[in-house]
Amino acid sequence: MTLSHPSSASVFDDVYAAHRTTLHAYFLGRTGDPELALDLLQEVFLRAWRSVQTLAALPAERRHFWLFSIARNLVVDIYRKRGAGDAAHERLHRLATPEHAEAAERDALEHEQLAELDAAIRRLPDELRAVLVLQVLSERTSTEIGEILGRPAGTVRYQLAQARRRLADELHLECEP
Amino acid sequence: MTQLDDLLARWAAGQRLSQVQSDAIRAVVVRDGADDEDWLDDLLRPVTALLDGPHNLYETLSRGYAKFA
Repeated sequence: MTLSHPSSASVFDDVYAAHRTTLHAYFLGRTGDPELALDLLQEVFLRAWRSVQTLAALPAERRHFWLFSIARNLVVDIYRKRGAGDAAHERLHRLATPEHAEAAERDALEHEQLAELDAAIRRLPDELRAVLVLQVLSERTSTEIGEILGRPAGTVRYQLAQARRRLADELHLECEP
Repeated sequence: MTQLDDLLARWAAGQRLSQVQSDAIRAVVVRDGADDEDWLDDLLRPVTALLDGPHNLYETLSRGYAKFA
């Protein structure tokens, strides 16, 4: 077994280039935590590197199923370890700290708007945040997002509309249905 | 483009995986993965030494397995 074989490295680089953006969006959407999303992204690709021979044997179109099954398990592990309630509470706590509010006040209007949007996205229910972030960051279609999250495309479209409506209402912005 | 779309596009620009972050993660994965490979090779070394050793255990085991196959 030689992981440094050119074909293995080449397979890994292909997989990394093809899936890093979507996986990052997936982790950010599922956790709402940028630092954790990067840690999880690193972990999923570390596992991919260790299993590069397995990945190399898969057709390219099947590799993303392998990667996203690992990604889903990592997120489940995180929620199990930290407890979903604790994680949500922690996120809310971070957003409610005086430092956060003061920083937003000091910032220019644009930064304030972005900070408000960021906070509103973090407050979305997990299932809505995941579809929204995947769409906005990775620009995937509803069908592709549905495949990644294991939901019908129609459900994804409905959840996207719900997420957008909630954000628009909360931030008093106009939004097409 | 609606106000929300515009704001989401600007939010996304600040959240996307940057090239620097991407390169850093790849470097860590390849470095740590190489460490794992050494660790596994070290772990398996006594077994591979037996199989490939002067008694040619690999051949003996293969012949034994072939009888039952």
